[in-house]
Amino acid sequence: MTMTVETQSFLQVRRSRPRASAGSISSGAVKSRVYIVMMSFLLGFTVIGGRLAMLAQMDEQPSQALISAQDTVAASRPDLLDRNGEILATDIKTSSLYAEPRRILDVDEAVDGLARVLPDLDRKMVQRRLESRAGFVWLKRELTPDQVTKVHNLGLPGIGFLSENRRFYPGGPTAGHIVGSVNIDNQGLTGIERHIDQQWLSDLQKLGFASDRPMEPVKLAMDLRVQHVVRDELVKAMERYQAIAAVGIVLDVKTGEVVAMSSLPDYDPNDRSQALEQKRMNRATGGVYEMGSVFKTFTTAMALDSGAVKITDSFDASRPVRAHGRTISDFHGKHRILSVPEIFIYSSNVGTIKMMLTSGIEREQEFFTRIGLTTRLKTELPENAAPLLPPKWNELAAMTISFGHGISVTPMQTAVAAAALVNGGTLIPPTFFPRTREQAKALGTRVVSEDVSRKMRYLFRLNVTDRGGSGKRAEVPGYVVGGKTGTAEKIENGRYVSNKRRNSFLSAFPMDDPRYVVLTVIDEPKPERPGLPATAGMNAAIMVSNIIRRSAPMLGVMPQFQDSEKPIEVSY
Amino acid sequence: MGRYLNFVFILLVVAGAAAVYDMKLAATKSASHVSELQREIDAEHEAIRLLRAEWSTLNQPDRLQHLVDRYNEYLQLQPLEVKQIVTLDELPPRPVTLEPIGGKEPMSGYAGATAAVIR
Repeated sequence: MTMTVETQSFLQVRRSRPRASAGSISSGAVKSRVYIVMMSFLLGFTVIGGRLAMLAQMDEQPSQALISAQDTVAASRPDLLDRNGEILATDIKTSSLYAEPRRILDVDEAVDGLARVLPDLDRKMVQRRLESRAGFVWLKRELTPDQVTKVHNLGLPGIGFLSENRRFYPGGPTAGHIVGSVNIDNQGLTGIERHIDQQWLSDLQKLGFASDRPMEPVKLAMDLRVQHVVRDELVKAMERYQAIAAVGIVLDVKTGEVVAMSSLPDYDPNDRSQALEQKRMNRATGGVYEMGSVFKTFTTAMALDSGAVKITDSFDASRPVRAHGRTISDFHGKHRILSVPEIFIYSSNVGTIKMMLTSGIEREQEFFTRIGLTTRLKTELPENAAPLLPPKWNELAAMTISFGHGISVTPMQTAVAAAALVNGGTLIPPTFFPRTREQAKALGTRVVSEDVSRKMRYLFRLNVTDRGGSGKRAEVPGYVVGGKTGTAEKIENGRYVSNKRRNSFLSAFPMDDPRYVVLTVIDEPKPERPGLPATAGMNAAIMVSNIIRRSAPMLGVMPQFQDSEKPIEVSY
Repeated sequence: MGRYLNFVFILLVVAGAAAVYDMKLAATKSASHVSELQREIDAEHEAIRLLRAEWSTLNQPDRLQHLVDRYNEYLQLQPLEVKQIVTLDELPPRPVTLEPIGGKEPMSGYAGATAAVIR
């Protein structure tokens, strides 16, 4: 009987099932229990299913250490351009090798593989790092594309690459001191690179805005072509005169823009180890020197500015000056009465001291402060040396300072002060960034009158055109060069030694309406041939002449031939 | 009647699901295409940077001067001289060429000459 029930269609089973008899649990209770169980299973599977869907949609989350590492290395920097848009510094992508030790399956295999591909990797160091339980370790920075492919082909788990921005300087050492350099994490160490960091870039990076996006390039006032000319001439001069160091500066007198600045020996910013070597320091703004006779320019301007000395006056330079037990005499002594222009062009120490004494010691100190020679000159570069002043500005100090000894300033300070004397009398702070003449006018302060400036231009020009002038070798036909030589003896063990000199030539062109100041300094030059003197007129002046001849056409200065034979007219 | 309506609804649901699936697939495809393009743009940008850096390296005055020094036997280049720089006003007046009277035909010529004849 029961068998027949089994053979019935399963659809009929429920119908034929006997109802639950009384006394057992009620059918309603059974039903509700079944529903409860069903609901709880449904809920459980819904939760699991939902979580699965969530997991499927989630991206793989890299570890925190990896994120912060990527942020640090990808820190991009703005390109640096010269005034014509030539690239001075740019970012290039490179790959760096890292490991996530927690994900590495077989440390020995990984170490073997890496050592095969990168033989210069320290095996023990790698082993130690990979066995640590750290979330993230660097293995090697800045791999070549070839190495990247090889490591990639090893197919090791837990080993990967981060793309990293590497700073590249196409010009190499050409503008090294201006542009500066960065460390391996792309943070500025020296030069304008550091200036940008200090100004805004490091804040931007801290906030995470600079991680990896292109930035507006930064333009400098420097002209790469002129910079190359200056550096090239310095390199040649260093060879020709077997000097130990040289500095060259080209400064726009009307805007204060530094068009070129080079200091040898310099460094290649692409080679990080060189940047912080002491002997490769930036001598143009970071070193202070006794500039020697070029300071007579400032003393003469001071004397004319005081009104106590007129350009027509004469001073007795026939005998040496004695003060405080010291005797100061002339290098090229004329032993006669000299007029103010003669004192300037023959570079007479005695005459200069007498001019200074006529106008007064306080006046000298005040004037030198006014033209910025006694305080630290602030530029955008991080390397700005403070001048070395005498402990007391007494009579002897004032006398030596009048011809550039006993006071040490940076070459940049000298160039800036000279620009103020020839541009009509306005002191304009120098800058490495572009600046218009209107902006410069707003920043400038008047330090000498228009009239004194005109007389200084006359003296500068006379020193080059006069047959006896010390700067006659600086002449470039057509460009109306004017300048002042400086031959300073160097101090060794507290004494001046006569055979070791630091020569300089401070010049401007064209003298009828100066546009650029050119300053060259050469340290310990030897005579070109034995027997020739190694004074500034024989080397520093020639360097200036070469720089102007080659760079003036690039700077857009038109040559003029009409009245170049005659110095500029000055009424006196 | 109600049964047919149900069938229609089921068909609609199936069709709707298929359409949505298709759209989603298309969207995913577009998204991956967009990211692919973005990646390519980034790569191009990177390539441009690299090429600009290379261009700048090759154009360094230092390098050019070195090349000129090395190949000057062939190039025959000389530094610019100051007297070579003149303004437009300093140029001599343009030489005047006079047309011969009576048209373009030359006054005389050589037999068989094809080149322009001096007039």
